[in-house]
Parts: sequence; C-alpha cells; structure tokens
Amino acid sequence: MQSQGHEPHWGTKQYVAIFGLLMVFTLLTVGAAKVDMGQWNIVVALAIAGVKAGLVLWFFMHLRTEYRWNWIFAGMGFFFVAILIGLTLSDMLTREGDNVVLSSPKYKVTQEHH
Amino acid sequence: MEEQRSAATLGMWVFICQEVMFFGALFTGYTVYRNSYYSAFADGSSHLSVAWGLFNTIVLIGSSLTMALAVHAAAMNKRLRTVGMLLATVLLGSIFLGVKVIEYTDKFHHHLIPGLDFQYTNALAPQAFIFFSFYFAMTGFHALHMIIGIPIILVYAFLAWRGKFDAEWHTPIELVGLYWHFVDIVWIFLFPLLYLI
Repeated sequence: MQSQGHEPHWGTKQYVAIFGLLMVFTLLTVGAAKVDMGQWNIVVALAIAGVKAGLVLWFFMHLRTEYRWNWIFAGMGFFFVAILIGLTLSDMLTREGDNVVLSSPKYKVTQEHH
Repeated sequence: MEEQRSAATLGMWVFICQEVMFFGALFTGYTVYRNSYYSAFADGSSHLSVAWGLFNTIVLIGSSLTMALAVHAAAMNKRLRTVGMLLATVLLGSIFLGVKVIEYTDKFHHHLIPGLDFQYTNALAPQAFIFFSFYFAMTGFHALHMIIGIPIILVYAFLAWRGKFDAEWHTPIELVGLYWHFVDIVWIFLFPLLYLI
C-alpha cells in the first residue's frame, strides 16, 4: 500500500517556484500570440495551456503524491472531451463547402465606429 | 483517517471529472464555431482587453498558489498561516471577479452583449454575435464557479481559525483546494482561446 505522505521535502519555496514557472509560461503564451504562425498559433497556445494545466494538476493538486486511482478519474474527463472535440473536428474539417447554417440572431449592424 | 481522506479525495476528483465534461462541451462548441468563423472570432477577440485578461490570469494563478500554501500550512499545523492563506485566496479571487465586472460593464457600454442591443460595425455581425455568446457563457460559468467557491473558502477560513483542522485532518481544505485549482485550469485555457486569437 503506497503511503500518501505529506511531502517532507516540499515547502513554500517549491510552491512559489511552480508559480514562477506558471508565470513564465503565461508570458510566453502572450508573446507567442503576437507572432503570426498561421495555423500553428492555436497549437502553440493549447500546448502551453496544457503544460500550465499539467503543472497545476501535478504539483498544486498533488497528483504527484496521489494514488493512481485518482489519476484515472482526473484523466477520464479530459479523455472523453478529447474524443468529443476530436471526432467533431474530424467531421467538420473534412467537409467540403459551407458547413454551418446560421439563422439570424437579434443584432444590429451600425455604421458608426466605436 | 487516511482511508477517509482518500475516499473523499476520490469523490472530489469524480466531481472534477464531471466539471471537465461540462466545460468540455462549451469548449467543443467554441472549437466548432471558431473553426467556421475564424475571422469573426479574431475580430471579436480584438475587443477584449489582453491587459485585463493577463492581469486576471496572474491574479487567479496567484490565488492557486495561496490555496496550495493554505493546504500546506494546514498539513503543518500552522493555524494562523492557514487562515491567512485562505483569506488571501478569497481576496485574489474577489479581485478577479471585480475585473470581470469592469470588463462586462465595458462590453455593455460598447453594445457587445448578445441579446442586449448588440451592435456591431461590420458585416461579421452575426458571427461576432456567436463569439460574444461564447465569451459570456464561458467566462460567465467560470465566474459562477468562483462565486460559489469563495464563500466556501471563507467558511473554511473561519473554521480553521476556530481550530477545527490539524495536520492529521484537514481534508475539507484539501478538497476545496482541488476545486479551486480546477477553476484555475479552466481559466488557463479560456484566456488564450478567448483573448489571444
């Protein structure tokens, strides 16, 4: 039975260090958004967000020291959302021509600039 | 005690799993429409203030730090530090919400709230309408999760001050910590997708 010990080697400094890493990645994502990489912008943005989420999950949410069972539930949600987005996109991206029908919402198109 | 803690923790992870699905559905819808109406989404996104979004991101991740430190302090039997860190989390969370009020008010003045006299200057209006619908739905639900979390943390701060928790048992603080970190993760994805197109 693996023990869930309170990390004896972890203290305030380590948590602040993870926060520092998260800040670095935050600034990185803002910087990357300013560079035009075409289609790759979204990939980079999601990759950086994924790393940040991973840091929060692993260190702040203590997945690092939790039983594997918890990892399964943590991962399950993301797994099914990945299927949802993945299969939806595989449909949409392989269509030809216009693919979404838009009904008219309540809006007004104006001439003035704000 | 350890069995109770791990059972309770698993329960919270199951709940978080459900929340991932909930927000995942919104993210999927966003993905579909961003794919179809990319230029309208980029145009709509230009109306969002990256400065406020970045500020809020720093504030919210900071609140995750103070929350993690609160759990850590509870595990070390440091009562006052636990209370302090929990209150700091509430403060940072409230600042985040305050900024959202500023942002939403600004949208109101620019007629960018779908359904509330929405006005847009160019032909991308119907598509921008959809972008802003997603913006308000996703940040709105996110903010709702914070509005629910903050009073809970306040209650635990009070209980901690009264000495209800110690190194051996501080499970409620751990669990609300998991919830709060999850809310942070949702924002970590929301920020680049909505603000940084």
